[in-house]
Amino acid sequence: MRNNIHLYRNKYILLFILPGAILIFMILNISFGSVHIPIREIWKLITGESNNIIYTNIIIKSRIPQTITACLAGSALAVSGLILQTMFKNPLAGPSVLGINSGASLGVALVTLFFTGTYQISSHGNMMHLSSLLAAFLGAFLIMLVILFMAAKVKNNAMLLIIGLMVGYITSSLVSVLKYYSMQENIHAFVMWGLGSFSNTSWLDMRLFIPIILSGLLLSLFAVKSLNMLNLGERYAQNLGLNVKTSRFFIIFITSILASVITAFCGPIAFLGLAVPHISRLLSHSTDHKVLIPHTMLTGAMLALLCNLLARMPWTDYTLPINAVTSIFGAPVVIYIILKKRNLL
Amino acid sequence: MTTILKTHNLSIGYVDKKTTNILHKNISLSVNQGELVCLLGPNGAGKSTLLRSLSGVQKQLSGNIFLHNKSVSEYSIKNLSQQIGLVLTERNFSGMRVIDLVSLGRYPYTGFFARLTKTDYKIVLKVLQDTGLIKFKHKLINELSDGEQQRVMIARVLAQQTSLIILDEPTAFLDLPGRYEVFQMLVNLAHDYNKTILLSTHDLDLAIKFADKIWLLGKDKPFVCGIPEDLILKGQFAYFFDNNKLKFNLQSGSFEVSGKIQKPVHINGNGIEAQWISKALNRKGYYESNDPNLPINIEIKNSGNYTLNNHNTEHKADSIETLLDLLE
Repeated sequence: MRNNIHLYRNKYILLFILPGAILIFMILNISFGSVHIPIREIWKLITGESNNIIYTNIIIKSRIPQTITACLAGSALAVSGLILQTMFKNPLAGPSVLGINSGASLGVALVTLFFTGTYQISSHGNMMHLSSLLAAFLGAFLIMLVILFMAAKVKNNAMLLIIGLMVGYITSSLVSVLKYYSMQENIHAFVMWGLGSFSNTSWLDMRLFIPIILSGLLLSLFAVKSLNMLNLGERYAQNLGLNVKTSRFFIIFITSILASVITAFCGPIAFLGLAVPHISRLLSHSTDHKVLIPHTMLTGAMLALLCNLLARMPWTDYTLPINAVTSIFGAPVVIYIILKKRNLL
Repeated sequence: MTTILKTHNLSIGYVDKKTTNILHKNISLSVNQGELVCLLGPNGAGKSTLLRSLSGVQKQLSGNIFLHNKSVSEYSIKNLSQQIGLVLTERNFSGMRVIDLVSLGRYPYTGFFARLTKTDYKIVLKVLQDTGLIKFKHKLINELSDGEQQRVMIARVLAQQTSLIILDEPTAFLDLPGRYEVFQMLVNLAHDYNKTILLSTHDLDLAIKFADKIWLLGKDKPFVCGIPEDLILKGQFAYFFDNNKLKFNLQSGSFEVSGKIQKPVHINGNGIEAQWISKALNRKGYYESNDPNLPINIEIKNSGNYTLNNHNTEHKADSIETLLDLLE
């Protein structure tokens, strides 16, 4: 459109560079790992000429599900971070900061630790236990409601963050009580889950994971108008014709689904939700969620893929927990933002 | 004249836990189209609450508000957003650019995904032109001055194209020229574009100068409205704002610090010099009296040539400053 009314200088980043980078990182994610698979072989598999059963097995059973999981998890966490930051008008909001991750953790802990022996959370190939998924969602949703209730009471953003952190502490203390009375092997499973990983979703899990996350991401696009209005604060939003109560519930619902399902499947992933929206704002120079939501999704997917690649530490026999990588890259981003851009939100 | 907004036995306040805090009861008011109405009153009287209740973003405790003779509760949120525009004191610019924020004013007219049509763009650009913001359109609002930021907020509400515009303290934080500019802009909107403007302010002198109607809202005092001059003459300003430190001066239409011992002075002469001498004397604790037989008497011969008769001693002064020095 000729009319450059919405100043959006870096359209090309959104349209070409990010999808291009995602594609490249996807291929690298499939190729690199403890077993290196040459890109030639991947191409052979796509064209159906491959006869290397080992490679085919690794790619189909492990690398592709992991790549898809990383993509969707990155998008979902980043979008839920963006939505939370806009809704609470707080640049430091994010699923992990506001205690939503810990709410989901509590749910998962209740199921894995309390109902001992029924199933093991990190075992490959098992369909993710529906009850643990549901528990994660309920835990996250409950914490969101608590935070929202507090947000209505305290207008001060810093206070809200502190409350979020405290709620996080309460849930983690409950989790540790649960751990104390649990069986060894369940605790191990829970700890492994808590380190975070994109590799715990089997194809069986995917049947649930992909549709839920995709519909959550799709639904978030429906919040564009409300989020743009909420940029100005709730009263202005209402004066602009927004039914604040309904849309707030809708927004919480989406965020809880996205954050909790990712947390249930991949463990609590730190910093992606907090840092990616800021990167998107910096790159897009926009506050319009029509631009920001897709931008955040793509940036989130790209960075999750990158982190996953780094966590695998190609050319070595070791792997890192994904949380270690996301924190190492995420925390400096947040510090940079605080130092550089004071008025970002 | 068309009445645009009317209330019937309106009670405003807020509900906090289980207690209901009533700030004001039984307010009955009406606003005519094309009027500029200024709401005055001390802090804590409930000005913001009244404005928020009238604009529909805060629920009233009881009573009815009628917009175009239809109860506000019968309007849908979207409909209401096309009728009443709001400018509040809270400012969240979130790194927005001028044009983005002004475009938000078109949201009541957009569809589900808030796509702006060509007409919407045209309206936004026209508003930016009219408010003199077109040269800033791609600037970050945070980088503008306070006065310019306030203009952006007014531009946004103009893009909303509502017949009624409600502003909560639009002149707060502005410097003197900024205040005049905002008031002048609002007067133009009311008188030239037939918009109805309702605003709260602490700028008494500007309100008296520009407002078509003034509303007075005080703690534990009945709600009063009228045109500024009537309210002054009826002593309403004095009633609403006077306390032991502040007195409303009927002559000047402004407040003066009281408490000093006031001594009468007779000024012999009139015109502009007499007025300014009177003002200077006021500051020093004297007031002008018509009685020619007072112990202190000032005679204005011609410009810069004054004679002071202080208890039968005569002094000459060539400026008001020396005059005041001689008095002390």
